[in-house]
Amino acid sequence: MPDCVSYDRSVGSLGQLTTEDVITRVLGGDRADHRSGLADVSEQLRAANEAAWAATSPRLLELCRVRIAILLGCAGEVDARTPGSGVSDDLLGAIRSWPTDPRFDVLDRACLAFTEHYVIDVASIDDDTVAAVREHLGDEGAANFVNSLLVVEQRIRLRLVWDRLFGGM
Amino acid sequence: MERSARVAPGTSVDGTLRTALGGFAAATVRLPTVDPVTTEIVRLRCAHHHDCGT
Repeated sequence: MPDCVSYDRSVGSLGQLTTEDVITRVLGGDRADHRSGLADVSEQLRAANEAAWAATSPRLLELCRVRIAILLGCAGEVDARTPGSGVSDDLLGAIRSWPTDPRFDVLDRACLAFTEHYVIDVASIDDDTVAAVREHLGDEGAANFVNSLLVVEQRIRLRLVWDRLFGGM
Repeated sequence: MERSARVAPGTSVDGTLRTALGGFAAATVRLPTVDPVTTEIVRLRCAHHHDCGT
């Protein structure tokens, strides 16, 4: 068996930290021991997050990030705001009513419908749900959106696991 | 379950994002925390869950 990675068990309460800070606290960030491999994971996860927000409309990704956080029960991500997304607190507060609230446009709705299906049962997303996203974003835009969504969802799920493992809920 | 492609052939993901995602997956698999067999079982389970044939 390979040697076990030594996680820092004294990370303290994670509840009030941003997800980025949680990642740094758990994986070690710049202080991580490269021999353990954790530093590589931390760096790649950070790079993927930056690339996701650059490849997709920050407005769309922010709406979908908060919707994922609500569905998965991640309070830290529900309360967090991404600087520069251009989405108001009022709109994020109304995100549960996206199907009927007129402040959400057709692109918002297409992407939020996709996101909900993605979180609940990713393998059963139907053609129409994908087509609605493609209609507005095009093929490459849709591909970038889905990959960006994957990054956002992974970070939230990781945070939920770490919150439960190391405390903070 | 086999599905037809939902995007046009040749559609590519943003290069920086694709590289970073691949790097994250590779760095995770390289971690010595979990033995290779368990890692592979988890990888296959994730692929099945995501309906990913690649």
